[in-house]
Amino acid sequence: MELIRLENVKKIYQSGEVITKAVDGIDFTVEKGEFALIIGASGAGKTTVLNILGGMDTATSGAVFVDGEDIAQWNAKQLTRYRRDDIGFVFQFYNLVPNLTAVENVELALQICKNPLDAEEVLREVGLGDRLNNFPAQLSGGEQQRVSIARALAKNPKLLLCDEPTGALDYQTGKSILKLLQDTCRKKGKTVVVITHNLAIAPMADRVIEIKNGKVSRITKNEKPAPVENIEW
Amino acid sequence: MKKKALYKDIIRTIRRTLPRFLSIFFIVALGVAFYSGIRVTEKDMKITADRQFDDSSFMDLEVLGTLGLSDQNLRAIQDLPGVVKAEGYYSVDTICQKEGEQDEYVIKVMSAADELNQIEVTEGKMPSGQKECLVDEHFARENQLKIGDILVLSSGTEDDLSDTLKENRFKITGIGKSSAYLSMERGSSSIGNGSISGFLVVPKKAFSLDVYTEIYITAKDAKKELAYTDSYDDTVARTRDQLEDIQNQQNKARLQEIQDDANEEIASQEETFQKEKNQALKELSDAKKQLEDAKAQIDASEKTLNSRQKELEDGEEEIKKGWEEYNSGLEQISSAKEKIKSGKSALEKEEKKLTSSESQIQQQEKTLEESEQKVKQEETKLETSRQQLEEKEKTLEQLEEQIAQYEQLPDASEETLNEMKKQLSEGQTAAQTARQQLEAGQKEISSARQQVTEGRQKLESAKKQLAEGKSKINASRQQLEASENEITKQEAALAQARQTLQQNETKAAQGKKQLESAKKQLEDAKTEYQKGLKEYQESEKEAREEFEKAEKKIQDAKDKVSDMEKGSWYILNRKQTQSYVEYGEEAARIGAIGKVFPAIFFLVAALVSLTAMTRMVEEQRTQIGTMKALGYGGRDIAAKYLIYGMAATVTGSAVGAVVGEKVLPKIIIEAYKMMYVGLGTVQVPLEAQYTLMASGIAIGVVVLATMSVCYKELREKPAQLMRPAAPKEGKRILLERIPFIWKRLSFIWKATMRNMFRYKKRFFMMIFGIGGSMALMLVGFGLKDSISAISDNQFHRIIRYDISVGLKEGAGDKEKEELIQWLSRKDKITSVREVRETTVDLKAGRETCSASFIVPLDLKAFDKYISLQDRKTGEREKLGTEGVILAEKTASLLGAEPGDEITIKEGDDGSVKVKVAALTENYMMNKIYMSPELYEKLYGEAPEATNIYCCTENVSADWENTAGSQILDQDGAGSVSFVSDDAQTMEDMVANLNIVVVVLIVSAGLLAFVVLYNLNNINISERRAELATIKVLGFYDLEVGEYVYRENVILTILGIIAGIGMGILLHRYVILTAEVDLIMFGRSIYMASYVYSTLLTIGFAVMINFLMYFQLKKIDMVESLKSTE
Repeated sequence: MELIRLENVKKIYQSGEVITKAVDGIDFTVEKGEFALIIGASGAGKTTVLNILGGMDTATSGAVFVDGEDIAQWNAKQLTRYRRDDIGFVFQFYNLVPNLTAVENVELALQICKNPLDAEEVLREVGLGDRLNNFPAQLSGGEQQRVSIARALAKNPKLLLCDEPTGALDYQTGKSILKLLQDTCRKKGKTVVVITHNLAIAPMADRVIEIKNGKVSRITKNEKPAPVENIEW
Repeated sequence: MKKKALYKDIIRTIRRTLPRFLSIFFIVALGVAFYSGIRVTEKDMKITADRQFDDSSFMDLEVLGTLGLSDQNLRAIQDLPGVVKAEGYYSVDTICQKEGEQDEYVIKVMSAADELNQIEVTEGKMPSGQKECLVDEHFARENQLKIGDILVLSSGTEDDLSDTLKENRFKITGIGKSSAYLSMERGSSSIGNGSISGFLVVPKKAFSLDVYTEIYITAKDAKKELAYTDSYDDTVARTRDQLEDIQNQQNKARLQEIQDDANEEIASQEETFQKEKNQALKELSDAKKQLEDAKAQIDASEKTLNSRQKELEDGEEEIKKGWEEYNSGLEQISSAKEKIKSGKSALEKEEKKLTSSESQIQQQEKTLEESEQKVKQEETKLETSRQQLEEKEKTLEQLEEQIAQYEQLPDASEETLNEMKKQLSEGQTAAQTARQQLEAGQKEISSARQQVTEGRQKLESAKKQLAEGKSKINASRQQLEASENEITKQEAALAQARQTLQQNETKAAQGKKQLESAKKQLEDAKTEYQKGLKEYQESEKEAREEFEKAEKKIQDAKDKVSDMEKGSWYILNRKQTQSYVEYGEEAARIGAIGKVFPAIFFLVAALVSLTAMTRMVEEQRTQIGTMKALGYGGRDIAAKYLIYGMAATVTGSAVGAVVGEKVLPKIIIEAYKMMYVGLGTVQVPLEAQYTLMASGIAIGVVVLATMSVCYKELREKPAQLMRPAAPKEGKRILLERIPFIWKRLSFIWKATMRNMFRYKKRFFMMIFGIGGSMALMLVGFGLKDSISAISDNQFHRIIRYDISVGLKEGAGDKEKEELIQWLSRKDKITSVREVRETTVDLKAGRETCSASFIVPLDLKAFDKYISLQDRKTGEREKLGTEGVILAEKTASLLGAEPGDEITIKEGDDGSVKVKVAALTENYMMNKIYMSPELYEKLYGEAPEATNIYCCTENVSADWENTAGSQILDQDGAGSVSFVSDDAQTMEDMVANLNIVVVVLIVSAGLLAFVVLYNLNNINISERRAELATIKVLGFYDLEVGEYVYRENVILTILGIIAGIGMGILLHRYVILTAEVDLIMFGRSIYMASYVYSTLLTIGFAVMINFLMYFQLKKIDMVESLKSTE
């Protein structure tokens, strides 16, 4: 079942006389429960696509169907509700609230949710059962990213969007984070969209969308995705 | 063009971060404006006054001589090296009335000076004629005087006004101001009601004094100095020392002058006296001579009188003899007359006899003749009877014939015939009787004839005898007549003598009378002479005494002159001018406020800009790292931020200093001008001192802050800098250790709490900023409260009478009683009370002050008129005999407390010592209250009323107007004042001060606004990523706002609480330093003011948060999350 459908999505920035086409007509779909990778070089427009998909940004034109609704037509408030109820975000720099402990950072997201999961349980699931009351500064990068993922998961979203989740992490830690994401997709049946510039991890995804100069250059569907552990890069 | 890129970067940074740049600019501008503006006000006040003094050539020193000041003194002063100019003038305090009006005022009349103490003429022109004057602008306005009005002056003392002034009516030609009177206060005087209401300037020639009363002096170099400064005081003191040096000698010289004048005067008096004495002596001797002459004359006329008296007596003697002779002659005549008379009477007897015999004879003759006649008549009758008889007989015969005839007749009737016969018979019988009677008659007649003849013979012999007697009588009668003639002759001679005698007698009487009057005249002359003599003796005695007295007087005067002591000078500087000092105190007070008030303000502003700069440097961490990595030196990198900060601060300071120093002092001094009406144009020069001080501090703070932050950043390695700053560690806060509270907080509150306490700097900045603004506003409102408390309390709670009627100077008991009666009867006046109210000097230790000395004549229910009460406890105080009650402020000026002893000195009279029994709440003027019993004990006499206090019902201004003039129409009333007028004046003054308060409140509000804006701005930009994150997490805009506002609300509340604390302290400080001597400000801030300042602060916070909302909304999630920059 198709969860996401982008149709001819364009994002054009105009400052003065310079027109920048960040996204220049993108079409793709993602099935429910899929682990999708959006891969491209820096500046290819992949983050813009993710931001549009996550309701953080709006497309200049085109349609973005999520679970059958065209969110491109929504106003800021509807988008906020969309982010709140349907989306879980994982950032490259974690973006935890430094003043809150791990469990509090999760709780922060739960405050506003309709049917959240238990914060501590989610944290235990991501392997931070013993770091619940630590402040972000007291956690390593990987641990912080786990908190970030836990925060996204605890909202129990329809869609988990990750922007270069391993970008700031070392290889091993990055691998374990990817594993966590993959497990989340497989075990919980969540649709996960990950942005990366790392082509090497393409085999672990169900669907790989390659973007070049604001356009989709190739969409590959992996019938048998490989577990992360088996992928080396 | 080295490092061109760096400069470009700076300019671009400024352009990009314009809000931040502007916020630093404005907060610095605001801080500097307020700081330098308020600080400079003190100096500007002094400069304004100094300019006024310089422009009007206001004297630096003034010399008053107890013996007056002569031209010689003036020249000596002019010759002093430290004196630039000296000018003598005259002044005198007088009582003044506008022509046609009742009100009396004490007025200082001054002569116009040529060069010093120039009057600023605001209307009309300076007086030029002897009957013209210029009137005090303030006084003119208070009493609606205008040019052309006439003022009538009187001396107010026993002395004549003409001793000092030539005229007593002056026409107003101009209205003006004097630098000697900056404020509305005009000082005190020993006449009238004791307080001077204004001044008059008249030309010098209007004075009749021959020596100056004062000399104005311009001290050398003093003009260059700013008034009220120490260097000015020192400069003037040098000249003063010189004056002190010559004082002794000049006073001696002045004494000599006076003595010379006096001796001259005495000599001329003595001369006059001698002249007069000689004149008097001459007059006396003349009088004596006149008296002697008179005496001689009296003696002479007495002698004449005596001789005339003798003559008169001789004449009288002669007259007396004459009378004797006359009388004897008269006797002789009368005896002769007696003889003649007896002879005559004998003769008359004889004659009578003869006469009677004669008449007998005649009788007899007559009888005879009658008898003859009778006889004849009888004869005649007989004849007639015979005739009748014959006739009858004839008739009878006829009848017989007729009978006979008738008998013959045939027809004759018997009857008739009978009848006829009968008649005939009767007739015949009758005729026969008649014949018989006739014959008897004839016989009788014949006998009578015979008798008559015999009588005739007898009668003839008697006649013969009678003739013989008659001849005899005639002879003796002749004899008698002869002697009678002789006597008649003698009688005539006697009558002649008698007449002569009588004439002599009259003459003698006249002479006697003349003599009598002459004698009386002489007596009168003698009495006159005696009187004259006595008078002469008396006046001689008197004259002698007079001479002695005069001689003694001359001697006394001579002694007095030689005993005369030399006078002294009072050398006064400007500090002895009340308004000069008061104004200086005002300036000092503003200075005091200026030291604390703007300092807090400035501190807040400096801290805010410091935070902003710190934030900026921290934000640009990565860029710093990049620059460093590129190889720029630390100095260059720091320079960017320093230049940025300096640009904002320097321009901000410059604008702030100019605006602040121009606007704030102007506003404040203009407000003061409402009270110091004598001040000229407000001077607000830019003062480098305060500009530099304020800018220096501002720039210093910002530069230091920037440098220290840069230093901190620059110490790190470029690589570290390129990486995002390690987020500030989350920490557990104290509150978490109190699970009781912590557990009860919702998650979001926990987060808020942690956030709040995590950024301690921001936390304190916020509290200090909000608290500071709140405190400033509170002080602003509190100042207003304190000032309005004066009139609220003073005129409604403490002074409870409504009218004070001043008794006219010299009004008697009767007039006073009538006035009281009249007042008691007047409608709307509910009660009256007599009070003694005078101005006295109080002294305690070394402190002195002047105060109103109030003694009610009756203590009963005095609190209906003035409420004496303790300010703190509100307890009523009673006047007793143990001591006086002092006004609170008066006591603090004197440094006296209950139980202490103070000295009361009234006018030139002696002083009394008295104990202070209690202090009473009082806000205006110094006051001292005493019970009448204590007064009597101390002064030995009962207090005499000077004023009558009246309480009224609620009355209108119209009623007061008419009542005022009605009261003044009463004989005993000299002045009338309404408490409502004072209250109005006070309220007007409060309204003026409101300007200062508004300045404070507006500035504080601005500060609050800017501080809140800045801090919120910092807060948001600091937590941009965090806020973007929660936005991404799906927080609605409002929820994002709440996330921030929650902290702001708490900080605002904490700030307000801190502000109230700071405000109360600051208010107390400002009140105590800003108070003038005559006024006590209210000590407390009203509840409303707390409410207002709190509401304003909250209002600003709400406004800021509202603005923040849009800023929050504008946060771009994508941009914010892209990098940590």
